[in-house]
Amino acid sequence: MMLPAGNAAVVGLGGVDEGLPVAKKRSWGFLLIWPSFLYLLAFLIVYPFFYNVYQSLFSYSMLTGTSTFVGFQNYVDLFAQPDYANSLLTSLIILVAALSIETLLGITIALMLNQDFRGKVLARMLLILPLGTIPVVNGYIFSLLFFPSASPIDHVLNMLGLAHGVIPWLQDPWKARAVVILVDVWQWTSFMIIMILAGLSSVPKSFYELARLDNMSAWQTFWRITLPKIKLTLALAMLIRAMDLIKYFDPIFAITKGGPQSATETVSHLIYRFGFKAFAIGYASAGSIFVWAIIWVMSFLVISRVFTRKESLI
Amino acid sequence: MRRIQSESVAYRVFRAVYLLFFTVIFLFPIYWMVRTSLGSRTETLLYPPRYFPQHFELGSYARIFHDMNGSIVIWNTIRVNITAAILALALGIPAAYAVSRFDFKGKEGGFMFTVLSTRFLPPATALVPIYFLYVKLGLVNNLAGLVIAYAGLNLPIVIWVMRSFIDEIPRAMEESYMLDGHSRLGAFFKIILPLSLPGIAAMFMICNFLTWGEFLLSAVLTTTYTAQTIPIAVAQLEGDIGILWQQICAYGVIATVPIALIIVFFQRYLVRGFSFGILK
Repeated sequence: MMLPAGNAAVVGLGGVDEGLPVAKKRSWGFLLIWPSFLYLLAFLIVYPFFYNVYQSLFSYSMLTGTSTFVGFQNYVDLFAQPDYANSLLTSLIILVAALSIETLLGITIALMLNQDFRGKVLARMLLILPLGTIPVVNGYIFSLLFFPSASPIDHVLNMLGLAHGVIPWLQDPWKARAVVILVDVWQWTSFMIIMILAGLSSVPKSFYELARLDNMSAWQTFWRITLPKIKLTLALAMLIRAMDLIKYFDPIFAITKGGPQSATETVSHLIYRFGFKAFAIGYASAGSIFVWAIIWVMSFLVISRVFTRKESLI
Repeated sequence: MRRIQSESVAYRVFRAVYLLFFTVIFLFPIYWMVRTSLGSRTETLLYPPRYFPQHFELGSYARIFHDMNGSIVIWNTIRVNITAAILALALGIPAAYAVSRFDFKGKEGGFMFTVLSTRFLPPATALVPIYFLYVKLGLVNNLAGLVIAYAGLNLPIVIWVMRSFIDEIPRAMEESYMLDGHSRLGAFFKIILPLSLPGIAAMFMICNFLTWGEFLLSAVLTTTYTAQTIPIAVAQLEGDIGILWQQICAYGVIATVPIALIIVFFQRYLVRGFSFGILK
């Protein structure tokens, strides 16, 4: 996980470093990291972590306003009832579906936008616009688009002969999941497009010329030349998207509130519901701790690998 | 522009159709938002839908400002995001400078990695602790409370991205300045800050972009319009008597304009922000 000492990274980045002797650099400089480090540690890591651990061991009563020590009972309960496992599974389904569609669309659209054709600049601009929208507002817009018996989507599908009558988008569990996935795909495919375009700009045009001289097909060119060059950019973009999908909340709050029958309840929505609707603070905290454990394990296994290979990204 | 010769006519047609299809799909919800905000109330939920409303009106915008404290909410949103961005920059730039210019134990694996990991923790998991802390400190329904939280969300990205900007400034520049008898502090203010000004400006934009639509924290940490931002004001338009679609869409249009301008004009910088300064 450790990168080579700072200087090597700097040389790799800019090739401009022939600085002062290391001994002198030590001096007081590292003190500068402390204000922001303490801010993050105290506010976002240490305090929430210990608070969650503490609360996860207690049962809080709304009636009396008192907490009783219950040991690991909250954890046992959490996994004994279906809600929590269901929310983890729902988050996983949404993550896998949204991430694969976004990646596939992002790669194909970015590859096309990287070619020369008339209207390319305009297409580029229009195709990244969804990125500038507000997730919770998107939730409401998609509620309108899929509004029972007044849905323009239904209307178009009916006109094309692909459906008949009203489609129960938000009443059917899998259709509701599809809508929720669609909102994310709609907004964040643009993210994949601009990230992959940035990666593609690092592939020299001469590489494609050589591939053509070699009589490679477009398919071969992609797998042998383009993909290896953008592999880390792609990994980075997918990783960031995956982490954000674990947090997925806003559009669900607006469209389905987790329903129907908790078919679209992600883990973030569940923790919010436990903590601020049901006031089951102990469950919310136990659920949070478990999510943290997942994220930390993923961090050590995946994030550090993608991020420590950053020299080869540029 | 020269085309790559291997592009067949069939492929060019396919590409045009594919891109056109997705452009339409990507723009349609935005169009629907604008249409709903401008159309009349009776036209909002007609079936078959009115793709082009027959009556245009600005009533929903007027209602936001006259009946719903819209100007306060919008002003809150602007103030909170700008102040949080400035706070994150003020804390993050010195740290980024230290990481870029000094060596210390645990720099990459300890400090930078911990900083990064805070970006990946779902806010929902810190919601309960932060809420009860805010209750104790009197920060609930307080703009300062939102600023503190948003600065925390921005800080990891500020540190990573500003480090990459400062890495690009040759050390020789501050060193020659210091050889003239100036202190390192002087070099930081006279050399590093001015030279990284474009980076700081970009970072300021990125921060505003990232927190502009934040919903979950503001939903829990605010209770009345005096401290609410646009996303939470939007959610409050869903009430017991129904959903005020036109006002939601009007808020959406107002909130989307500045952020759409950022993504059109600062695209390269956004990529840099999204990728923690790794992609240039």
